[in-house]
Amino acid sequence: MTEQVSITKDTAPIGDEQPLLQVTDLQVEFRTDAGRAYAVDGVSFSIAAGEILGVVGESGSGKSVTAMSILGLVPSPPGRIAGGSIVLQGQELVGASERTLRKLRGSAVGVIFQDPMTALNPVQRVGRQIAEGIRIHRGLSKDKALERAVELLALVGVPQPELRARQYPHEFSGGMRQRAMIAMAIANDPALLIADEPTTALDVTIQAQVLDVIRHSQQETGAATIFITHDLGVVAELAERVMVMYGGRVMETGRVSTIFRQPRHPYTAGLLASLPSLTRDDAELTPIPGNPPSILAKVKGCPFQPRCVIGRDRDICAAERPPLLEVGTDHLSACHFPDEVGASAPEQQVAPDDSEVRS
Amino acid sequence: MTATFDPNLPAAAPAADHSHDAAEGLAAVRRSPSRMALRRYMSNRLAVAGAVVLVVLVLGVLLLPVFMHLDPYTVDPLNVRAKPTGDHLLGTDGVGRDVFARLVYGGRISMLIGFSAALLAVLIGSLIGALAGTLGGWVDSTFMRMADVFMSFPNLVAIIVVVGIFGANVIVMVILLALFGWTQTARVVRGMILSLREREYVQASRAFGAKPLWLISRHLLPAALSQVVVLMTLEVAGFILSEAALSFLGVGIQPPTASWGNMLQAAQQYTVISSMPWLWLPPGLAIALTVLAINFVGDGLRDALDPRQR
Repeated sequence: MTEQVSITKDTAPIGDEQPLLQVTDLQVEFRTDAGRAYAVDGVSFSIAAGEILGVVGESGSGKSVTAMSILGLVPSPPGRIAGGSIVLQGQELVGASERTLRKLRGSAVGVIFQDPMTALNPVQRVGRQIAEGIRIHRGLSKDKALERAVELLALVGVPQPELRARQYPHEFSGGMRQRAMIAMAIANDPALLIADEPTTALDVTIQAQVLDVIRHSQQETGAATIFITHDLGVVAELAERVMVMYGGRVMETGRVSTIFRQPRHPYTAGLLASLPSLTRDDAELTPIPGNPPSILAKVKGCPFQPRCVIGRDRDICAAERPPLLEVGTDHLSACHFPDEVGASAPEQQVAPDDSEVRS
Repeated sequence: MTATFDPNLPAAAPAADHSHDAAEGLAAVRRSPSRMALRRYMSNRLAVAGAVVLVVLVLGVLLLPVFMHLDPYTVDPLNVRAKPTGDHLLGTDGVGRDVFARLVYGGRISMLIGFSAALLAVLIGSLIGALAGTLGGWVDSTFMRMADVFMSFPNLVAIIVVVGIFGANVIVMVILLALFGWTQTARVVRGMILSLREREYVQASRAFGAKPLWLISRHLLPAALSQVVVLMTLEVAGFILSEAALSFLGVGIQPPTASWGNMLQAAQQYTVISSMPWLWLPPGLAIALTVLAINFVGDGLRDALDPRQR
């Protein structure tokens, strides 16, 4: 696959030392009527070639904004990247020209959008839309690009691809549309695939199929994949590593097997505890008390502190930002007291909900 | 009817089977947007009537001079303001020219001005609107303030001045009308693009590396095209009226070249309007009929092309 991945002249060779994508201390702000919103507040992570990274977090935790800033697709204004660095294949993307970013979009980085219903142009034939990215980046003729589009449709498991390529999106089912989206995303053999909640808009029965297609496409192209979701089950099934986000920050990151068995951040522990279990006989689900934080003010300490059983009464958690530190092999946690997470069982984690929300 | 339908079959099928069911089945298989739009258009009787009238009028002014001898310029001082006869189907005007010939040739000029000015206005308007909507920022502000200036300008005064400088010929008229007519299209196109560019498929196209011009030409303008076509038909009607009005005021197309407007102007000079209807009724009716037909066509197109009715 490597021979298909285009490497630009100024790209340093990708070795073990240098990940495919290195994001360091990324800050993204949005100017709103209510003031400045700190959507992404110092996010750092990296992804190796061919790896699948699951990014989980609730709505507004900065998952999508983080992913979109990689391509410079944060709507600006009101948004802007206020600081940090994004290095893809040795190339700095923060502050890179629109031209540079445009060349990467769709070629080095492919995006699978959440809702295939709205992400496809309703009045254009599907094949033509898939061919679009190919024509933009490879300068192929219309016919050649269409041929390739048909191949791609076949690759993502769309039956009768020649016929389907000539149809309009409204003639596709939801699952088929998402397959077409995936075909668009992998059209130019990207080195990095960003899947922004690709199964959220789909029927549960279709989700598994689409996940299979993504996995298959990922193997076929060898693309590293950032898989954004709020479905922990999907992460467990698909990803090797997981990054848990909250309030625009990374809470915990590590191997899926490690984190799911032994979370070292109270938020992750709370998320896992809130899942319904097939083995335990839960009458009720166990929620995390309180509300997600407002991102309109920069949080001095830990954004999870007001809802945290460990930190809610501790001054250090409110005053001092916990750094993302190694707590095990390939396992980082942004908690002042990672050792106490394991000490308390999930049941004891949950404090009575006194709806105390920090002002 | 399976999905692997042989494209050659539909042509052969009706010949073999004239039943209504077969036709229905075919319509269901081939549901391209243009086909559906055509079907919606055909179901609107006024729009179809308008289209028929318009086609007849256009073909008439284009082809009649080819098939019959029409001379709109020869003056006949001995036969002025003559009533309609076999020689002169609609009589003669104040200097003895054939009114029917002038009506046909005047129609050519009026329609030429209407269609070309509308085309030019829509081209300018779409381009400016698309650029303003897509690029935003200072480009948007500049173009839109420019549009405001043109809209608040007293057109008539400006046109009279310019005509005074350059003279009144077809090209000057077309450019002038377009210059004051592009603003509406620009605003509509800009508005449509402002809403379209937030659509996820446009964002998606951006995420696949599309340049602004690509976005405009592939995703934004085609989506705005139906509105633009409708606007254009209405502007054709408007410009034909404007030409008539300007010529009526004497700052439009100048005699001896005939236009529907200056035929009316020539007719108003006579105090005997009531006694010589062949001088003003034909051009007046022609203008009314053309404008009405175009407006019906525009209405029909708007209903047929509106994607929300799909």
